[in-house]
This record gives sequence, C-alpha cells and structure tokens, in this order.
Amino acid sequence: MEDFNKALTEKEEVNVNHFLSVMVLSRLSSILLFTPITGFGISASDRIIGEVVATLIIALISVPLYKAYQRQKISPVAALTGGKILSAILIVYFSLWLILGGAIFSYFASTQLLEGDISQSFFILTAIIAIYGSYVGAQSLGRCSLLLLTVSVIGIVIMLILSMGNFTQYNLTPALQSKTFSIIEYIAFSVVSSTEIFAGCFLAGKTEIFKGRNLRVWYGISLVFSFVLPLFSAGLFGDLANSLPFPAFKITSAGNYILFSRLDAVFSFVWIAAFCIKLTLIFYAMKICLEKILNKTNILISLILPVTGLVLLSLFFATRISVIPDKIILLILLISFLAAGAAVLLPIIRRKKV
Amino acid sequence: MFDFLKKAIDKKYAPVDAANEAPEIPISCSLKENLSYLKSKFGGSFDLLIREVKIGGNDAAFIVCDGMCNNLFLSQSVIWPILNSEKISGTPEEQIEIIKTVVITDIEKIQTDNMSKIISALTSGFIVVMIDGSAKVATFGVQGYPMRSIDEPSTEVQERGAREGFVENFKMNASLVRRRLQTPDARIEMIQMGKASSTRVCICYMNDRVDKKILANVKKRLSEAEFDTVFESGYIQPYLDQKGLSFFSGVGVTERPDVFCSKLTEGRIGIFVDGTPFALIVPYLFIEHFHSFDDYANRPYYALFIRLLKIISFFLSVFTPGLYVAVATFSQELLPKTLLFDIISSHAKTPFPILLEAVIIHIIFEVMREAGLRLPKSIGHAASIVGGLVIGEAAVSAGLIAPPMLIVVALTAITSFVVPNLYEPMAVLRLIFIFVGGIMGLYGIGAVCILILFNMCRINPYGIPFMSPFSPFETAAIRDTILRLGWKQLSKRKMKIQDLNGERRGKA
Repeated sequence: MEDFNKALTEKEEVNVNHFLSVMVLSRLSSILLFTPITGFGISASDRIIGEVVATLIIALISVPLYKAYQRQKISPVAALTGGKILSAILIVYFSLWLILGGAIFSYFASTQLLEGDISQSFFILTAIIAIYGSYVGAQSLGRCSLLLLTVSVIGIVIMLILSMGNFTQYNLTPALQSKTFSIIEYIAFSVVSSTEIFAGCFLAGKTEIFKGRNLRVWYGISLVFSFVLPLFSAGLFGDLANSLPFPAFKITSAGNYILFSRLDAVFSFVWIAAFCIKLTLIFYAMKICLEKILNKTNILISLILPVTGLVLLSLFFATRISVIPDKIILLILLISFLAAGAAVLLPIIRRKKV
Repeated sequence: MFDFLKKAIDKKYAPVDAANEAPEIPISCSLKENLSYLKSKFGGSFDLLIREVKIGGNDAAFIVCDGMCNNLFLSQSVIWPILNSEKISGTPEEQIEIIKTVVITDIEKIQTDNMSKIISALTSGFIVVMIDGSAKVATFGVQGYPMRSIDEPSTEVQERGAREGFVENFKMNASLVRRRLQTPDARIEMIQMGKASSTRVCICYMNDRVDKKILANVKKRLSEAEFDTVFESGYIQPYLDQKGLSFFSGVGVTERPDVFCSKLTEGRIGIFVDGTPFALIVPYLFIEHFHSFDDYANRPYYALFIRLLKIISFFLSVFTPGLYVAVATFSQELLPKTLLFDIISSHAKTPFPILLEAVIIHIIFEVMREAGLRLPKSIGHAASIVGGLVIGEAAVSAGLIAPPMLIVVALTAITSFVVPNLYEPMAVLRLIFIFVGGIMGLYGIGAVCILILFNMCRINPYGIPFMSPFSPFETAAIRDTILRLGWKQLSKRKMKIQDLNGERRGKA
C-alpha cells in the first residue's frame, strides 16, 4: 500500500520514447480490434483510407495538446477551480469508451479466443492487470509498453510475412466506392473512440519535451500500421472482410506454416498487449480524475468499485453490441468527445500550474 | 477501516527506544569490579578465560575467549613479552601505555574505552589486558578461530577464471577484494548489524566511480534494518531491494570475488556479511542473470551463443509446461496432425486432466530436487534411482502420466539448471503458467506475462530500472547485454551503472 502511495505522489519523468510507445500501442489496439459491427458499412478498401485519415487527424489533435501539457508540466485536472467538474466529464467519456471497448473485446474473446462463459473472464483479467499497471506508475507503464511494442511489431511483421502468400491484389476492391458520408462517419468514430488522445495528456505532463525526430518516427509507425493492417485484411479476404467479425485477427488463420496452422492463437498476444496498454492508460487517467473528485491519494478501493461496475456493464453489452445502431454509438461518443476535448483544453487556456 | 489493525501491529513491532538500551558502562579502576562485571555478563560461559597475574607489582588480568584466539600466538606474542618485560613500571595507567607502545608494537590494537567495547572485542578474538588501578586497558588482536580455506565456489562454476570463492570470514573476503583492486579508491567500510550477533557487514565500492546518492541510499537502508541476528546475506537483501511483491530481485548475489570486483568497477556497491560466502551487489539488472564470468574470457561469438542459449533456456523452462497445457487443452488446432494424434492418444489413457497431470509431475520434480539437495551424498544415488526409474518409468507404465508430459518436464528441468540464479522465480512462475494455461489457454498466459512484465518494469530500487538497457533503451550499453563486443570496443568507453538511468538524464 505504501508503495502504491509513493507511486502516486512521486514526481516521475517519463522517457519520450516510452510515452510515444504507449500512444502507438493504444492506436494499434483500435486498428486491431476493428469489427464490421462498428464499421458503418464501408468496404474493406475504404477502411484503409478511413484508418489512415483517422490516424492523421489523431496526430494533428494530439501532438499540439501533448506539447502544450509538456511545456506547462500540468495535469488536465490540475485546475484550481472546476477541476472536479472537468474530472467528472473525463470520467464519463472514459467510462463510455470502457463499456464500448470492453464489449467489443469481450465479443472478440468469446468469438475468436475461447468460446463459452470462460471468455467473459478474459476482460475481467485484463481489467485487473490494467488496474495494477495504472498503479505501478507512469514510468513502469512506459517501460512496459516499449517492450510490448517491440514484441508486437515483431509479431505483426512475422504475421504479415507468413500471410503474404495468401495476399492477392485482386481481392482489393476500388476505393471510395462506399458512401462518402459513411466514410466520414467511420473516420469520426475512429477519432472519437481514440481515448488515448485525452488520456495521453495525463502522461504528457510528466514527459520530456518531444524532439521532432521522435514524433516523426513514432507517428510514422502508427501510420504504417493504419495502412498495412487494413490492406492485408482487404487483400486476404476481399469483400468477406466486411462480414468477418475481426478480420485482422484472421490474417494467419488460414494456411499451414511449416508444421503449424491456425497461428492466430499465437499472435493473439499482440492483441492482448495492445488492448492491455490502452486500458492501463485509461485507468491511469481515471485514477487521477477520481483522486481529484474524491480529494484522496489512496484510492485503490475507489478505482476498483467503479471499474467493476463498468466491466459488468460491458459484459452485458458484449452480446448485444450488434443490436445497437452504430450511429447511436457514434453520436454518444461524439458528444462526450467534444466535452472531454473542452475539458482538456481549458487548463491549457487558463495556464494553471500544479 | 484497517487503521486500528495497522496501529496494533506497529505498536507490537515498534523499534526499541534508544533510551531503554543499556548505557555504556565505563571501565572501573578496580580490577575486581571489572572482572566481576565481565563474569556476570558472560554468566557461566566456559570459554571466557581469565588469568590473573602480576604486572609491574600490580594485580592484573589477561581476559580472552577460548576458541576465538590462536593460543600459540597469544602466549608467544602477548603473554610472554608482557610477563617478562622489564620496561613496565610507573602507575598502572603508565604501565598500560608502556605495554601498548613499547612492549607489544607489532600486533593489531583497538581502542576500548568502555565495557561494551571490551565485550565486543573479547567476542571477536581479542585479548584484553587489565591492571588494577587503571581505567585504561590494552586490547590486542590474536584471532585464530577455525575457518574454511578458500575454495572454488560451489554455486558458480566457471570454465575459466579463478578457482577462488568468498569464504565465511569477512577479513579473508576483504583481502580477496583488495588483491584484485589494488587502488586506494576501492573502499571497504565495515558496520555491525544484529543486536545479538553483532555481525560485521562490509560495504565495498570504488570511490571514483560510485554514485554517491546510491551509496547514501544503501547505507541508509542498512542502518534502518533492525535485526537480532544476521547469519546470512539473505537477511539484509530485502532491505536493499525494491519494496513490494515481486518475483525478481534488484539485488545480485555472487560467491566469486572476480565477479564482485568487476561489478564494483562499474560503479556498483558490494556487500558481504561475516559468516556467509554469498555477497550482494546493488543495483542489479535482469539481463545480468544471463551473464557469467566466462563470457568475458571466451571469444565474443561464443559468448553471444552461450547468452542466447541461456535466455532461450529461461523461456523454455518458464513457458514450455504452460504452453503445452494450453495448446493441448484449448488450441489443439495449432499442432500438426501427427503430433496432435500422439499427444491426444497418450493423454486419453491417463486418468487425470492435462492440467492436473502437469501440476502433479512438476510438484514431484520439485520434491525430488529438494530431497536431492538435502540428502547426504551417500544415499543421493538412491534418490536418483527412485526418481528416474520408479517415478518416471513406473508412472508411465501404470498409465498415470503421459510420455509427452514427461518429456516436457525433463526439458523444463534441464533448462532450469542453465540459469541457476533465476531458479526461484522460474519454479514458481512455471506453476502459475501451468494453472493459467490450463484454465484460460494462450490468452491467460499472455495476460499473466503482461502482468509480470509490469511488475518487472516497476523494479527500480536505486533509480536504475531493472529492465535496463532494454527499457529504457540505452544504445551504448547494448554492446554488453546479449551481444558481447570484443575487449577493444568495450574498453573504449567505460560505462558506469548510473549511466543507465536514461530517464533521469532526460535521454530519449
């Protein structure tokens, strides 16, 4: 307990590469866990455009925000007045994502990893690990994400190399064949569900100042993933990618590789790692917001109780996610995204220091 | 809610108030009083020898602990010269001074100006000379207690490198260090720990290379450690390590003086404890568990090969049983058909689920290993026969265990001995992964891996991350992690352990 308190209160500076690796993994998680349920009916080829544009927009929004927080070395909820209201707004936004993201992940676990009721415990286990990760501190989160990103990149590269034999350009349908509005909706959904934009602000205040080269390298990696993974999904499955629940996961499900087949089970570690880091980042941000609202430092219990409730809610929605219209989900997320955006912009505008 | 419980625990284990400790008793001028005090302190201990004599016409006494001194040296170098010296004269205090400065000049002397120090000196193998009428005493070092000679370390066997290992005596260990670091910058400071044992603990460092903050941190932690007795370096290891639960330790252990000294030259701090040959090194990195002294004596390509072998062995030892259980239970489609058929048909004949089989056989292996460790050597062979033939062969013949499971256990066992430093975490993690793999499949193994990685990344007791130089990534240090560059390249830039704190230096 004492160690947890120390992790909360000590001033820790996060290495810039570690911070950016957290962001890249979080973005990777969104790309990997794409499912046509929230695909807005666009084709697989248009999804490539959607992901790339979404990544660019995310970079355009997040980089100036992070730089501002880095320069001022503040936390988004450090405002002397109204900090509790801002914290509440951000918690609502993160909770909505948690319910949606958790539902998608549980749906992913129950359909792709292990069928049956046991798969529901996967999200619970992931949430427990993420809670622990959020408490060990920002530096540990950064170090861990750098290692996991290295493993994930190697895993994805191997995955793509192994599946190149089944890739055919004839599966690729022409781009921009879907309705323009649907593509815009998809891009908007991709952006508003990227909670790492605002959660990253909580880490940015503890990070060293960015160098241009770091930003270019790391966001370049994100961009490559945004392009390559949907491309391979489209190239391998063609139109079928629009109906497969998680097309990126299925990349290595077909074919024999030396002696082994169905290697998707092995590469699921990449999915788990990316989602776990994103969840840890969200919990880290939620923890700081809860600290502000409750005015306490030792809030182990305080984070577990609401998270338990949210996890149960997400498990409830896991089997019902396909019933809810994607436009409703987009609308709810969009409103909360705009409110959360205002919440993180206000401290910068006020230029309050911790 | 649990504050009252915490207060009760704190009250029970509150440190002893300094005011309640025994005050320092001054030395009396009366010989009888001094001897009476010593006899009462030592009670009926037979090894406290008091020989009452006359020195310079005054009543005097030689006091020594039998068994702690070299009797021949004592009588020839201390007692005989004093009793036969004609130079001892004057007041009792002057006589003591003459004994210390004129009669005996070539033996170690220490300052003892109160009874506590006299008692400490007696229990350390010193002889105390008291003269009636003098509040001063003369104390000479005549240690000669039995000790083990320097031998090859039993736990760190190397192909090349010295055949010397630390022993239980701290002075011999200090000499082993001093012989290798013949520079005044190599400092060996001594403190005493343990209220009952007064164990000598030596803190070693290179003054021109050590990080002063880390050194101060180590000294502070040792000063805060309260013990009744310290018989092993493992007692103080938790005080030097990161607080909180972890499978891995940020404190290294070694029995080899060459390894110890090489770590000191990197700016680390070494600690050895009187009574144990196992020395501690702080800070210590995860990757160093896969290094050995032989790596630096062999060619770089071979060192790379061996290090890779050790890392692969570590991962095989920890993950193979869990992965086997997970794949055989949940992800059979991963396996080639012929292998799958063999595994399934073997396990179909056994009464237990694969998870239970794996747990049982691994626990039996740990029992056999522990028994082999504790057994007298004369019946150790019998244990091997029981383990290998009876349990292995008979269990398979009886259909209790499937042959593939035995192969997995055998592979696990052999690979675990390649990295003996990490045997403790490997043994426990292996069982955890078996359980998790049997319940949640590959997902569970992956998730628990991430949890353990978070835990390892948290270890940072002196500001040097345990997972350095991989995270934070330090390019210059990579030359001696898995890869070991040649000595010409390694000598070009001397790295110190504090250089690995990339976060503190603001390095990207």
